[in-house]
Amino acid sequence: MSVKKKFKGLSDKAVGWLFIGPTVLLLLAINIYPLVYAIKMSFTNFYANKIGREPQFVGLKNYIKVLNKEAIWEKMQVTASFMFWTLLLQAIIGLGLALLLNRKFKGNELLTTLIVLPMMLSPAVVGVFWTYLYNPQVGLFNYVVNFFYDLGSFDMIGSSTLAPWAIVIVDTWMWTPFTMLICLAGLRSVPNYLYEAAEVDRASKWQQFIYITLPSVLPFLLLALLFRGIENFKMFDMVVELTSGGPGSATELASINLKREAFEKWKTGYSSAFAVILFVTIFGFGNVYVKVMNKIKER
Amino acid sequence: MAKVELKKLFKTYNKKIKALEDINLTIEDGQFFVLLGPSGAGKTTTLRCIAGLEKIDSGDVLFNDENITHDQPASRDVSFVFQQYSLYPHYTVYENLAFPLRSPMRKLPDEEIKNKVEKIAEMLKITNKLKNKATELSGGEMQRVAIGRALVREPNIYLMDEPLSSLDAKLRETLRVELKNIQLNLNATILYVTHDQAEATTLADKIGVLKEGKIVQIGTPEEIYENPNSIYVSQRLGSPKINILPGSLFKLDNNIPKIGLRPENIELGDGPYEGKIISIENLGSETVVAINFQDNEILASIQGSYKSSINEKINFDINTNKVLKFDNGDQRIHER
Repeated sequence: MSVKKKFKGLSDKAVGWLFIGPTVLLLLAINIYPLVYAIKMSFTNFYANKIGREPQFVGLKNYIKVLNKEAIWEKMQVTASFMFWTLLLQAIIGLGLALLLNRKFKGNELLTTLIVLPMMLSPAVVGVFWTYLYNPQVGLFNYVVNFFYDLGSFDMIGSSTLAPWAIVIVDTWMWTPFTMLICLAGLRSVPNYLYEAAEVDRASKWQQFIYITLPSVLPFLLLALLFRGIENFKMFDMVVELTSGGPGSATELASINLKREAFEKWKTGYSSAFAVILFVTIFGFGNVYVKVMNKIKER
Repeated sequence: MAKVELKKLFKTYNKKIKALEDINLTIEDGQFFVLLGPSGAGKTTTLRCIAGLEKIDSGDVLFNDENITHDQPASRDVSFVFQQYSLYPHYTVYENLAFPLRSPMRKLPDEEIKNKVEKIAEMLKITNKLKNKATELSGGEMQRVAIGRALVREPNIYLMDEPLSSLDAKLRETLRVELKNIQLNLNATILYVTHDQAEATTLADKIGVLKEGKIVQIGTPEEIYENPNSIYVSQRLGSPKINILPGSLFKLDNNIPKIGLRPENIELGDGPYEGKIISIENLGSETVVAINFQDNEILASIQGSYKSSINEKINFDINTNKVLKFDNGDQRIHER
């Protein structure tokens, strides 16, 4: 009996806490604590660069200021349009590529690896080298476009109408492989006998796509878009390297504006309120999206 | 419905594994043809070749004397019940049943689709499940939907790959009877694959026995049972299964290497042979008695119950007219 007790070891619950403990601590330290701190700051007139000045409680003043500022809504609009186009393009091209790669052909695996490469690069690096590609004099991008259709001289980054498209193109180039990979996983999970049954039932290729392929792959695609949506809502590094939000503020996403307010103008209380608003927005959208996604999955 | 013929069909997988060798068979219009054989005999492959889901190496597939060997599955117009349910998982039972009717090659008005689906659903007793999702059904219901999806249209031939094998015994029996009735009502041409002898004998107009990719005998269930041309075929039908014994065991003509003796052709209680009872199995309407006779185990079946006990001595006789004689190559020796 005593021997048994000696070797009893930890309970399942204790082992569980032991495993998740480090992660929970880390999350508390670098995610939860700053969030709570930011919420607290958002109700004050704190300036991080004014040392020694006690922050004063100002109530909802910061929030009212943020929401009444027209420039903020412009940034939100830039962010929304960036998200709309990147998600749309990545969904269509990603699914299309996945459908092609799901076929059996020689070199299939090598091609998959090659397509996935951009995703593995650092966003900042991608931003830097695309500035070279977009260079109007020596850049490859302009050369290729002009090779197919002569547009003359144009500057993707320098023009305030083209710059929003410049960042959409780079993000799509970089992250389409991600949606593609997840769609490919969805496609591989469709059993072949469904297609055989449909073929015997004399369904057209289009009907097979609508009835079998699309419903099977849709939950996967939606999940990929959720990840991409959250990422692109807080997109920062790639765009900063590429355009620094310019020209003017044509590509100044909400996150870039936030960084400027917080760490260039040092309006800590004000930008905390802005950050909390962004957080609530993405959190709310995310939750609604997940609910819709689960509905579709159940269907 | 059509007459379906297979002529000199050969099929190998991966250029090595022989799946079908020289398959020749004719399924008449309106016939219920059952392919019988153990797993790996080539039953499913035969079905898939007829449906066009497999490319054949050589040979011809004919529908109503028309050669369709190189046609796509869709243009062959066959319907297939797969062994695994293979319902479209994202749709309701109704949508699953209506799917074949929505083919661009057979566009029907919605009203007619509705009528046909409801008729089939009623026949298969799944009317109250029409609005359920395909994944929310029990195994038996799924398989009935799969059968319904095949029956909802009138193709050249219905191909059924062990459609009842995954169901429980009671449901299997019910559906077996239903299927036979449906076939008679529709005068349908059906090629049905099974390894279950009860299904084969109850359903078939004709049985084709497959062995390692070859057809070894084709005949009515009675012919296959009473007149098998080899030991292999004789063992396919009959429960309890046929006794295969050395020819010298009983007082018969000399020079017969092996004999086959069905359990019901042994009479217990009286006779020139004496053995010992090994076991008695009472199945209700019949009783199976296992006898040790000169170190051979012989199964005998008699009507009703049998009162005796294990290890007791027992006398028996055999019905010599019903003895099947086989040569050393396990082939039947036919009397002249």
